[in-house]
Amino acid sequence: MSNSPRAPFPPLLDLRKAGWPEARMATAASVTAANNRAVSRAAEKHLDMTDHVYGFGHLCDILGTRDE
Amino acid sequence: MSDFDTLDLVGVAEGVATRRFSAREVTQWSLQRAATIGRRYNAFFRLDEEQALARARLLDERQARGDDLGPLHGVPLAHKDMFPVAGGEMHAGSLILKGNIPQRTAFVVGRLDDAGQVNIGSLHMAEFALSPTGFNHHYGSGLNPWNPQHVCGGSSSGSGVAVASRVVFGSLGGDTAGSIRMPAAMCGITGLKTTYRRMSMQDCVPLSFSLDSLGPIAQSARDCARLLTHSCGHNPADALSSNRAVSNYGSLLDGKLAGLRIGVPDKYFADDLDDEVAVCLQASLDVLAARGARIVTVDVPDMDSINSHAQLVMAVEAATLHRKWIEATPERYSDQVRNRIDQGYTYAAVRYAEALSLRSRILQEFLTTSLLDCDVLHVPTLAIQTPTIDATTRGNPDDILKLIGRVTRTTRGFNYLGLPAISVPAGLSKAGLPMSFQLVGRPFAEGMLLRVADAFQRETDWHRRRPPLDAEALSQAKTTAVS
Repeated sequence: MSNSPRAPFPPLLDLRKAGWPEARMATAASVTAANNRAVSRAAEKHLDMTDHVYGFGHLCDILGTRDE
Repeated sequence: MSDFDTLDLVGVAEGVATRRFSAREVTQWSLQRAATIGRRYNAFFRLDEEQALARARLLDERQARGDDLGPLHGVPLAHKDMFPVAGGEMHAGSLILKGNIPQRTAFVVGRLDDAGQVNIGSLHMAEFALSPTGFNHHYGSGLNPWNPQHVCGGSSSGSGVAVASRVVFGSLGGDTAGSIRMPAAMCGITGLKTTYRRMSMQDCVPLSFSLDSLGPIAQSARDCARLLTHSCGHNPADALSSNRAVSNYGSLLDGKLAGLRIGVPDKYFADDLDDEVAVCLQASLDVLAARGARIVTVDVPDMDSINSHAQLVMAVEAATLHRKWIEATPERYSDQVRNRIDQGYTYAAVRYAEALSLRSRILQEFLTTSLLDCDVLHVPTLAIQTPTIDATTRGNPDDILKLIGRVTRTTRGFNYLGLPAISVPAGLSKAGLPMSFQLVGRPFAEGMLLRVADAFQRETDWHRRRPPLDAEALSQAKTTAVS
């Protein structure tokens, strides 16, 4: 297995092709980057392998909404 | 009777029940006000005059026959245009759904019908609920009845305007990042966002299915309690709706706060806090303390991070819901809304899955960090002064985006956490605009929130203050809007 870093995930939508001006793209990119960074950090800190499995069900348990 | 605008929802229900006036009288008054004040302030998309009068007549006939009366018998209400009513156009503030005639009434609206409401029409909202200020490119902004130069809050803009200007006595709204609490705060009334899935979303137009919640908007906590009692409940046709028993929320309002602990976070919510809002918040805490509540300082987790999670989830889910339309007819979206939806297509699937997987862990952390040593949290609904329409629509798009981000900074995170939250009017700024505080509770603590808000409203009259509806200010605002 290679240890070389992977390229970032490609975006689904190319905002440039969608007609966004450069200035707006820069603003959007800064918001997206901040949100991605926050989620990525929290995932590294909090998520273990099994947490993904319990995502929604666990939330419902805490909220007390799951019909047993 | 001509002074219906001095009554609240419960007062109108009692007036009809005791035959001080008929359902028809109060409905006629409400319709007349909707056609004048409601239209001027852009509160309505659709007014159902004939149906409303026929409904009021029917309710009066039932009462004359001695039939049992519902708890909302004869009370004129109207709801955000995301709630379908069979046979009435519903377009959710968009062009794309213009002409859409639903075949079925939303579950929650049907519950209010069962309780005796007179639904007089559908209310203005932001295009597909994508604005916290009440901006709508296609149909014009909702206008704040306290000062129409300022935003009225959104996306349940019409609900805020119609209730504050005493056109209707209550309304249902939807809240994905603050869309009930923001118009309530900016228009000086009470708005409750319920726990995730406390109220069934069946047939309602969604924005972000993981974050959307519904709730009542009315003058007071007492009014909201009655609306909530008779609109929530398990919907067997909606697998996600909660099957937890529904309280008679009105019966929980005893005005007592002795022994209750109110938590004030030691960080985040005091940042970016306007001086006048800070004074208003402290004054509201003093009132609550005087009624016996204990004020305690509590820690909060990283709210900036929680807001980021909420933004990412909302962007991706909105993009998912709108994909077909935005590919086929992008020109039918306004630029502002299309830009926000487009952003959702740029997030990686892994990040979205992580944001959702983290939700239960972060909620657990929030409950044990912030809500372990107190019964409710006390935070601002809106930390800044209510901005002008100009400041949120004209000028540098970056500045507008930042300003809009500041508007929902104190509300958005609670949608990610799925927690109930209520906005309570608590003062007027020097500029004459309402200020408020927000209470946040544990899952399904709607009763507790209403109880604290009601205790506050027994000591204060901010929720009873009526906006000036100044004709000259309205004319100036309309001139500015078209220039």
